[in-house]
Amino acid sequence: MNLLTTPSIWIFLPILLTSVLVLVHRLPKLSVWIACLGSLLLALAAFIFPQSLEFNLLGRKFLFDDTFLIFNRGLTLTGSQLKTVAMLYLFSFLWNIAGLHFSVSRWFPTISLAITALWITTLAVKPFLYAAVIVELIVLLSTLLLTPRGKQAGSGVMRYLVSQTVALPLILLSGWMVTGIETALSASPLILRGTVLILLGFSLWLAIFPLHTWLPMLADETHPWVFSFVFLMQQSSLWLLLLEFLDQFAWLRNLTGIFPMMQWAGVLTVLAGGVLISLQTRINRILAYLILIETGYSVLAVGLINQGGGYALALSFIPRVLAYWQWAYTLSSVQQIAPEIDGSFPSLRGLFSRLPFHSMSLIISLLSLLGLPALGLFPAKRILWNSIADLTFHYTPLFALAVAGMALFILRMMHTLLTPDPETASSSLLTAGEESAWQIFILCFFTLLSLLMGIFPHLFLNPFLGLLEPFIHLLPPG
Amino acid sequence: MILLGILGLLWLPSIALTISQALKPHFARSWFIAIAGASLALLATFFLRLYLPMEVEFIRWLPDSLYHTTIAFRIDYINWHYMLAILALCIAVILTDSSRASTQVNPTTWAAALGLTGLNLISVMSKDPLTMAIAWAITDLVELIYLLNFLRSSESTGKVTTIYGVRLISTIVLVAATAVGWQVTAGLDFTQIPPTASLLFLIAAGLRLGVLPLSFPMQNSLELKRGTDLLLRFSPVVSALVLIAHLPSEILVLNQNLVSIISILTVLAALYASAMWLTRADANEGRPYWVVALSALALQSALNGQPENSRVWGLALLLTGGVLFLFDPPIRRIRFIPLLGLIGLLGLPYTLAASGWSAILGDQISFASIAMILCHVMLVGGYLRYALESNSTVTGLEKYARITYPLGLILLVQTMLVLNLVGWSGVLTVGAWWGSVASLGLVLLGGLLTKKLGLRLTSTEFKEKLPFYRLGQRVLDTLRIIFSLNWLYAIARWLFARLGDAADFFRQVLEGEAGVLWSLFFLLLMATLIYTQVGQP
Repeated sequence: MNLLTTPSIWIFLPILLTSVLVLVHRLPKLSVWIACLGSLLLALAAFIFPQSLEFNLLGRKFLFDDTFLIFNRGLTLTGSQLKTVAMLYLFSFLWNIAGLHFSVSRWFPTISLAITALWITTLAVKPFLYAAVIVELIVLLSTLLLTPRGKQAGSGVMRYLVSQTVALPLILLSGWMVTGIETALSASPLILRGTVLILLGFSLWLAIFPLHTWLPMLADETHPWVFSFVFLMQQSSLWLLLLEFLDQFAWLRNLTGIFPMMQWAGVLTVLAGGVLISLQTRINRILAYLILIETGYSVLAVGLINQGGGYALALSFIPRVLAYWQWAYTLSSVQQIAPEIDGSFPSLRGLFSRLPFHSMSLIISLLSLLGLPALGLFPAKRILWNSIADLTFHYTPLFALAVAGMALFILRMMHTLLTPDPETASSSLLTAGEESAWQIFILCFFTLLSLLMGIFPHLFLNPFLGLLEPFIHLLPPG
Repeated sequence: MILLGILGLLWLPSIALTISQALKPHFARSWFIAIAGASLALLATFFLRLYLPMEVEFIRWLPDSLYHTTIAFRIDYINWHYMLAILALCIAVILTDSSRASTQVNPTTWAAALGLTGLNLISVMSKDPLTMAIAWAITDLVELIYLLNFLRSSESTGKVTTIYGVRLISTIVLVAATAVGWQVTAGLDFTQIPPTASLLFLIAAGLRLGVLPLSFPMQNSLELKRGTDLLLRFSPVVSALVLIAHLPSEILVLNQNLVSIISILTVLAALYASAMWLTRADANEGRPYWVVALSALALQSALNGQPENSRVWGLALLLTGGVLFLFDPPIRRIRFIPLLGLIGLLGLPYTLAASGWSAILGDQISFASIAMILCHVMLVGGYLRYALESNSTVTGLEKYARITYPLGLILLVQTMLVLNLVGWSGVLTVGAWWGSVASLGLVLLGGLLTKKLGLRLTSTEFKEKLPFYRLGQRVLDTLRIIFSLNWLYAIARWLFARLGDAADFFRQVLEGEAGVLWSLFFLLLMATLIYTQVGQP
């Protein structure tokens, strides 16, 4: 058994680290630091590792194999996939480093690292249809985090479990159904059935409209920090998995009408998210709708893969993560500082006077997700907006409605945060400083980072275009 | 390099002022730093006149095939005078601030003035709509944060949300307009705006100006009266005016009905705003109406196919308006200075606004032309009224303020004169002289009549003597109700509440006990859709 392989480093090593974390989980600080340090080192290693998987150290030449064989199945992490690996471990680091300050489960560092390693496994496993089983494993692990300690699993968690579990047989069945189908005609009933199963499986996994109803329920029951991590990882990894499916199955990507279907699904999901978010009155559910909207944008990007959608998808990964991080951090921090805030809009009234930096941070993260010029997600969203304007007029009014819905929500939120409660109104808008200098620094830093990404995308975001490199059939080089 | 130098001359003093104020506050030193930075920036801008047109590429998003975007600036005969006007206004604000010691004048506000002026220059200098959209977004955010720092009342914060909301929508519309424009030319700049997208650009500008739809969100805010805050109110206006000036003259080839509707709305907005301007208690109360009325004239110029001539109304808004609004305290002895400011508004032959008449009157006499003349009459009448009614005799003015205060006002008048000579080729023109003569004649007639009868526009005696006063008042009140758009907002709120009820009902159904069954139903529906749509030739 050759251990000098990339899966050994980025899959088995973190799983080994997870077992160490299980042993020390009663020491929360130590757990967090081990998870952070481990994630950071793995991210850095993946980022600087040569794509040829060959390097010289102390006069010795090391050549890593990209495949690890286990039970006659392969785990393959090629040099071109290492950027993805680096990104996922970076997410793990970002969520663990700040998670220490919030009252999340003490299993968070352990499970988050395990989840990260498993998501990488889904991208590495060959045949890739086995990824479905690993996704189910991740879902089961995630439910441990999503259920607050000492409480019974809520209906949101149950629906999440049901929805994700229903997706598993659909994906596996598709694999069985389409074995050796490459030579069949594109209109073959088998191909159509396989396509239906794959698309339904992904729709359930990704909670595409109208299969999203469990998402806000879950967001309402769970700590925002945990929720954001679980679904950020899920969203990011499943996109890559979907691209993998499209890349590997020529019959799937060559099927007439598959991409327009995805475009419509994306537009309708964005529209549903935009309209529903505008009507929300509970702040905990907002992240669910933001995820829904971003899912819609990503489906649309895949649907527009031949019109620059793939680039938009790659460019949006990091700014989206930062916006989620900023939103979840700020919201968690607000709930930590002011536990009396129950998540309803009236309880947030006049929050600006108490926590001005937190309030502005909430607004700016929303503006970034809206795609406001100069903020991180603008370059990616602009590519999509331009593509749909070029493509057809049908999407334009739907998109306008979706963007208007989200803008309306931002303004409602802003009004709530700025307008003091008449019963407790003070003479000055800014009254007390309950925010620490460290919190202010973090919030300002992430705002600045978003601005820099929005203004200099060629410097900050172009490196992530490399995420598309493994999909050589779907997006041929050059 | 000069452009970056100009921005540096504004931002570095702004940072220096903030630091100096935090470490060792010194009023005179701060004032000197602010005035020196702004003056040098003004001189440098004036120097740029020799190099027009010029382009500077600031950032290029690479690869070009993916982004088609450069953050670039272009200074030409469409925006150079706006740059000069903003900088002159900034200096005038700092110079005249010294006379308003009673109000909350402090170096921090000057730092904000310099910073915001720099940001505004970026949007004014933008070579393409995307650069402008980015500049708008940043300026709006900075302004929002600045405003929230000193607003006190909950009413004001509500208005801040409204203002920011309108700006946000205008930025979104600008991005949408750019997307439409890119279908014709990828990475288009302002010289390549296709007629198909020009209406969206016009709406973006109209929203920011408060003309389409008519909105006066900050009209009663106590915190935003004079001085530095004038820049806050004028800043979004300037970049929107530049956008109008950049529009293609073929805007009329678009959907005629739509253009007609926008034109009618613009004329109504101009009439209403100028009538309100004429009848307010003081200039400060009338300021939002001044902005909207002159912006409407600029919009009408674009709708008449002469967008580049909208600049004269934009300059009148900034410079003539600036003189009047900075005339605080309104000292009787120097009220000739604001009267001189009328040079920029009257539009008499060979004056700055002469070329603007043909733009608002159109090719032939129509209802819109007559309405425009009436608007102008009311604007000039109101201006004269507020300037002549000034009767303050301030005695406690500091020695230096006795120089700096009139100097600030004179600087604006001088800027008008300079632009009148070197603003752009063809600035010295006779123009549609009869428009200005008719307007001036009507103003003089009105002035003589009121003087002869010894009437004051706001006095009850005048109101009683005026024929059809009650009818006019009722019409104005009705217009006020219509244009306040409160009825529209009420309908929207009602609809929104009903939509909320419906969404809540569906949420309860889908998240209730039967939710899983509904999900299965949706799954089947999706399966059917995919099966019937995918794979079909």
